[in-house]
Order: sequence, then structure tokens, then C-alpha cells
Amino acid sequence: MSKRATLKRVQEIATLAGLKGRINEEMKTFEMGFQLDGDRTQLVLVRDTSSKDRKMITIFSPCVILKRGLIERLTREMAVELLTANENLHFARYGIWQTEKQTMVVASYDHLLETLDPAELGSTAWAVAIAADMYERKHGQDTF
Amino acid sequence: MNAQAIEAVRFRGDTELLEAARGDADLAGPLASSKALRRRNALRCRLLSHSVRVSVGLMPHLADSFQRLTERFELSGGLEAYVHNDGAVNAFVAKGVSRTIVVLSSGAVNLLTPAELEFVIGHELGHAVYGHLEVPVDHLLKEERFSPRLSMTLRAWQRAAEISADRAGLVSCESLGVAANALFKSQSGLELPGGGVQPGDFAAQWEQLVDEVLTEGQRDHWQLSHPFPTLRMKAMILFWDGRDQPGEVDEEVARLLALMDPMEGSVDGIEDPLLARFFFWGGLFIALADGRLDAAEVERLQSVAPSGLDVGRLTSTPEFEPDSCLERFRAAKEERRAKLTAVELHRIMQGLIDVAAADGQIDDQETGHLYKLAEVLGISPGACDLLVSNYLEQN
Repeated sequence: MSKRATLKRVQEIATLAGLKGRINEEMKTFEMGFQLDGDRTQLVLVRDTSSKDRKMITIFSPCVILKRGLIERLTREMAVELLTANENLHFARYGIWQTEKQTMVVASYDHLLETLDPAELGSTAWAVAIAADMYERKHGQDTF
Repeated sequence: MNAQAIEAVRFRGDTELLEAARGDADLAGPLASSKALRRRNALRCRLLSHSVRVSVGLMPHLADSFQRLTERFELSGGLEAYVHNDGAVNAFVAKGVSRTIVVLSSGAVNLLTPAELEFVIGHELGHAVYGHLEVPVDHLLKEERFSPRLSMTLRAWQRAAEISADRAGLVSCESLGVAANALFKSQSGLELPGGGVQPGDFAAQWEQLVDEVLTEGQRDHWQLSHPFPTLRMKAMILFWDGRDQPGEVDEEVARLLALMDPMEGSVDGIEDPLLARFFFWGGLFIALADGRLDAAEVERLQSVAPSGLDVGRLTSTPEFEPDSCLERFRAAKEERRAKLTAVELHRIMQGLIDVAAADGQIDDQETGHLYKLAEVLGISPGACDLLVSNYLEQN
């Protein structure tokens, strides 16, 4: 199954869960927008993270972007804060993703595609959105 | 009967699936290697050392059957037959270095009548003349790591090839009753002294099996190399009774085989045989939303109707209530032992929306019926609306 086919499958499951979204062909992600309380919004994305033997997806939501080269801006305190918060989170975890240009703090969760059902996708997407928003809210932002 | 007649009875699905498998680039290399291996195989040596070779002197009746059928099948390259010591009723055919080799178990020789043995021998020779031995599926699947799709295609082809071989066996023994006895004995191990099975009685078990497979909701039958025996019996009856309509028979047999083939359900719409109950009762419920059924709807629903059920007759009986369709849909969900996967849920909803939109639009009554069916599946009205709007955008 190609990455495109995986995202198409995710889109079908999201629709069954009543979640509207679109496939971003360039980024190879499936994107959904969430409206949270207090007019806050959160972007939740799904990407194909399959291993050789298992078809897997990662549902994630960005919390903050740090420019590459300034990784030191992710201070020890921030890292400890994320690890501590992870211990109290359900169906999401904080982590950092690095690309060539940037470092991103995200909330994310993984699922096996084969057994993923609409209710699971729906609750995970909400859990990830809320976790990412909590981080942003704590730091006085609503970028995503 | 001659070679041309045998070729003529070959199941169309057999040739189509073989062509599909051969068209897969991933098969070419392993297939060439398997041919090279065959040139070095030691099957004949093993058989000569551990089995008995059929000859006029040792087993005259068997030698005579083999001789007669080999001539009829116009088998090229020569044939050798063996009997090996095994109480079960079975047989196999293999390609030797320079000849075709058929092996019968002692159980087959002891339990089957000469006519029944001709069915079995004809079946094995059918595999040889149809070229089934050119693709050693079991060996390839054991040695190679093919994609799931290619593996499924190869297994589906093997099952289709068994249908062709059964037909070759049937035209060899020229009796449906004899073929039924042979198949029954090979499955049950019973002798049937002084009698035989009625082909229809044997095949009737198929309907019970279909119910069980649908209720189970499992899609792992694709791994079987042979069709279910009752399916084989049903396919032989269809072939025997419908020899003047080979196209229709092949279509019906393909539909039976689809129950063992998950690839049949790989597209949206109402093709997936494991979800037929949902499509039929749900589709009928939606089609009746406006209180009437048109001819196109009847034809479409008939293709997924439970065996023996006539849609037109069902809906025209005075006691028929459209709401009973919703209850049958609910029952299909409750009876199913395996949880419906997201893919299956999507497939069901797409199929139902397809029925609702058959006339180019979905009216309020149809939407109301869709909501009720979606609720049974645990899908909210909001999600249902989203599915409908996506469907309308794409079509």
C-alpha cells in the first residue's frame, strides 16, 4: 500500500468518525482542523510511519516550531517539562521532530492502520489536539 | 471426448487469474528458478524407491484406466503412475524431468470404484493438460516473499484451477453421481457400500457453510489452495446442468469462489461477498424509502440476495414490511462474530449510498433511511452527511 493509499484509508476512517479533512499531497499528510474551547484552534495531521512489516500511522499536532540551529533554545527546563507532562497524558505524548530547517515540538500517538476504527481515530485526534493546545496555551500561544 | 473437448470445459476464471499472476513482474524470476529446480528434482527416484509403479502386470485395471485417459487427454511427454501407501483418499500430479507423474494413495485405490478412480485420474490429468503444473504455487509461496496481492492472486488461481480440473474429471467419468461419490469418499473416508450420495444433498451443505462464513466474517480462507469441497460439488452441478450456458455458469462459479477471496472486496460498492447481507438488507431498505422498487434496483439487489431469494417476489408478498429489512440488517450486525473493520464499515456505507444515489440524487426519505442504517453501525448522522457529501463530490 502506497503512502497515498494509506492517507486515503485514513481519510475514509476519519469520515466515518465525522471528521472532515484533506490530504496534503505535498507534505504527504492528512490534515484536520479542530475547534477547541475559547475560539482556539488546533491543526492535527496524520502521516504514514509504517515499518517494513506493519502498516502504521502517526497522528500528531504541532505545539511549537524552533528554528534549526537554535536547538539549544529547547532548554533543559523545557525538556523536563515535556517529560513530566508525558507522564500525565493519555493517548498522546510530547516529543520533538527535526527536519533540515526546523525543530518542532509535537504531541503525537501511533496506531496500526489495520485495526484502527473510527472511534479510536476520533478520540486520538482529539486527545492529540488537546495536548498540543495545552502546551501552546501554557506558553501563551495559539499558532496552530 | 478428446483433448479439444477437455480444453473447452476449462473454467474461465482459471485462465484469467493465471494470466493476471503471470503478468506480475515479481513472479517471473522465482518462476524461472523453480523451473531450473524441477530439472534437478528427484521425485521419480523417491517414488520408485518408496511406492509401486502402476503397470499392466501389477495393477491391470489401473493401468488400463491410465492408458485410456492418457490417450483421450492427448498428454504429451509420457506419463507414469504410482500408488503410495497412505490410507487417506488423495492423489497428486507433478511434472517430472521428462514426464508427467500421477500418484494415487492406496486409500484411493482401495476405496474408490473404477469409475470414481477415473474421475480422480481425469482431475489430475486435467491439471497437466491445462498447464497448471507450470506454476508451482506451494513451492513459490514457501520460498518467496511475494506481496499480499500476488499471494492472494496465486491462491485464487489455484482454487480456480481446481474447478477446471474437476470438470476434466467429470467429463472423464461422464457421471455427476460418480464424481459426487469420489469427492464425498475423499472427504469423509466412508466406503458407501452398495450406494452413493446424491450430488444435490452433498452440495446443500454449501448453503450452511456460506451462512457460517458470513457470520464468522473472517477473511483468511484465501490461504486455502482448494475450494471448499461442497463448493466444488456445487460448481460441478452448475457445470453439468448448464453445459449449454458456459458463460453464465462460469460467472456463477466465480461468485461462489469470491467468498474465499478477499480481493473481491477490495473496491467500494456492493461486490464484497462477505458483506452481502448488509448490502442486500440495507440496500433494500433504502430502495424502498420511496415506497417502490424499480427494475434497475431489483436487478442490482438480486446480485447480492441470499441464495434462492427472489427480490421481486419477496417485496410483492402482502405481509412484507420494509422495516423488516432494517431488522434483518441489524441482525446481520449482531450475528457477526468478528467486529466490522473501518474498511468494511466504509465499504458498507459506500454501497448503501450507491443504492440511494442510483437515480442521481438522494432525497430526504433516503437520507432518513441511511441515518437509521448508519446508527446500527455506530455511525453518527453527521458522519453520514459527510460520507454523502464526499460521495456526491466524487461522482
